[in-house]
Amino acid sequence: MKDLKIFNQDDFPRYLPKLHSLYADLFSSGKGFRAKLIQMMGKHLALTDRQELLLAQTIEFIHNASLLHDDLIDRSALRRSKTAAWLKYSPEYAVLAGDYLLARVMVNLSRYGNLPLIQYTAEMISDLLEGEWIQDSLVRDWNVQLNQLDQVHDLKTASLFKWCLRAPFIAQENAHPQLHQTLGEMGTMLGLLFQRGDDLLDFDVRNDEDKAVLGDLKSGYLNSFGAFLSRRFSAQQKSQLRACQTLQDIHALVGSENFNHAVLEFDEMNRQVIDLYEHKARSLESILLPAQRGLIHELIGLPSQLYFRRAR
Amino acid sequence: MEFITLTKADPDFENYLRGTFSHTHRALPIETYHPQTARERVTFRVLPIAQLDTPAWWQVYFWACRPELLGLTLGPAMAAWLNRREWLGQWTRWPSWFALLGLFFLHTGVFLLNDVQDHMRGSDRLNRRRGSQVIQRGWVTAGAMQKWAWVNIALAIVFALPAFFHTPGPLTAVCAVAALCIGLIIQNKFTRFGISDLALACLFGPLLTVGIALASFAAWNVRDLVLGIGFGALTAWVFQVRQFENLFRSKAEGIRTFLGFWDFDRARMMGIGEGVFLVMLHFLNAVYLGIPLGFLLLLPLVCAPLIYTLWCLGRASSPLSSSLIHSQRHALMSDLALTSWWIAALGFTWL
Repeated sequence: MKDLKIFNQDDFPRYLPKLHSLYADLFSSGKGFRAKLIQMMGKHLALTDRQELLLAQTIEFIHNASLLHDDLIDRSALRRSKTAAWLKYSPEYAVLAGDYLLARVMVNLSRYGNLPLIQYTAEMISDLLEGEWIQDSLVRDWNVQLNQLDQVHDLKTASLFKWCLRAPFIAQENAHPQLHQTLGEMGTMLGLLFQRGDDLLDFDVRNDEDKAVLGDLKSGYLNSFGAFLSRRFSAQQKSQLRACQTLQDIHALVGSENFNHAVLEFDEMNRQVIDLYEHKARSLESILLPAQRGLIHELIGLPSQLYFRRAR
Repeated sequence: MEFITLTKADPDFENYLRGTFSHTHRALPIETYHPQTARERVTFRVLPIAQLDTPAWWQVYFWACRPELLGLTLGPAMAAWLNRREWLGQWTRWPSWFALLGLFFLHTGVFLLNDVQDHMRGSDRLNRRRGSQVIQRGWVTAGAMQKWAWVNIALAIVFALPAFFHTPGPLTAVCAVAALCIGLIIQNKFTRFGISDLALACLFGPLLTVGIALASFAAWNVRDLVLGIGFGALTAWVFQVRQFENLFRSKAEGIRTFLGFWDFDRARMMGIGEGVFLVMLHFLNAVYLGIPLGFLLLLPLVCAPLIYTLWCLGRASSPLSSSLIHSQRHALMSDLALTSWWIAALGFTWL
């Protein structure tokens, strides 16, 4: 896969103080997973270089704008093991830098001139913001249930994955309703699995990325695995969970055996989602052109990668 | 694992939803998109019936008849009967007992039909806490449940006949108004103005108490109406509180509810305001109906679940807040507590 230059200094005015160094920090450390997803789609759909760059930039700009805003909302001190932008620069610059990225997205897309793509992107940004808003209202809600969190993640996380799957087809002016419906549903599942896999990292499960643990819990947010683990907790156990500061505290509260059993149950539940995802991916066979069908195989490999964090 | 995804345009769509596609397999709906639209799309997991852990038929029937909601129908009926101590001489014993039995079958029939309708419409497929969920678990097919519903409704009609023969005219009028209310609820057309909720209040309130008074004593008066208004308002509020949990999904899926037309904070304040109004209404009704002072003094205690429900609504920070699930549970408890209190208080007046 060729390297795409997502952040190009020439795309942003040089006279704005700190903007370039802020963006350089932001874009240098991410995995760029969503851009890679676009490239994977592009390979099978024969997107032009221009289309591929536009789509990859769009999704990464939106994702990074949401991170800039998210860190400030959550008062997170670190982003990708570095000082978060709002702390390193200022909250005002972090907000403006996020807004600027979103504005840039609209400039780039309107220059390209595909109206359905502009409309869909705007809808995706709305979903993302709705998800952020609702998620913020769930902080310190220690009785929140998994299905409620799924609804938030559908807006906040899955909307980006749906976009990655659907936007390349929209860019090619392919509006096949069943194709978009199926891709949208698959995107929902990818987002859900990605989020659940990410939430497991917070409990140090398959945490090969060495992400900081219990960040969600300490900031008052019960994530999807936390909600699953505590689904049968008494009020007293819930208040003990709230007070946990380390993984040892968690294991002491639930017992290591019960903890591991909960992970297995959680995995099993998500394997069912993966089965359903595969069923949907295979149904694309009849919709995609013969030259595009190689995509199905690649799509089928994605959920395990996202949930179990397995390298391809 | 075998999955099948069908859209509304597929000829088998309805067969899978009704469960009539096979005698050996059940299709469990595991995912629904765009319900109540031409784009509706459902994915089913198809399982052999033998693989389902189905309880005995009477257990399925018990859960399907919504025992937790029986207080909403049988409670006001019993209170209406106890409200007529001075007319005991005119009590028509058998029509009265049969009417009560008929009411049980009507309750069951209506909730079974409602489960079938919500399954076909998609609302019970989207929210796994709605309805009895016996269809979604594959314990019974929607088609079979619909048959059960009609059998229950037929039994309700049979048991209502003695009362009808006794008081044909007024009871026909009550049934006609009830049919109008049911029509308004099913049509769901004037939801924005709260007409569906008002129809629900009439159905579970004045029409129920007046109907039982007519079936039992061949007459009705203002006391029945006053009692019914209190119960009707209470039931409508309980159902509104239950709507809160679906507010987020209802808006996203285009399902219309009265609360869905309001912004979240206003809807919440309205729910709280209605709860406060309910406490005052029941107090005033109790004074009007001559409930003894000792029972009146107990009312604040009886209203504790209702007040807790209002507290839960007050602290709900979003339509996905877990306190809305608590408020839903406690709203039903409020109804049970108030209904039990009315039955005890009216029963006490007989001593």
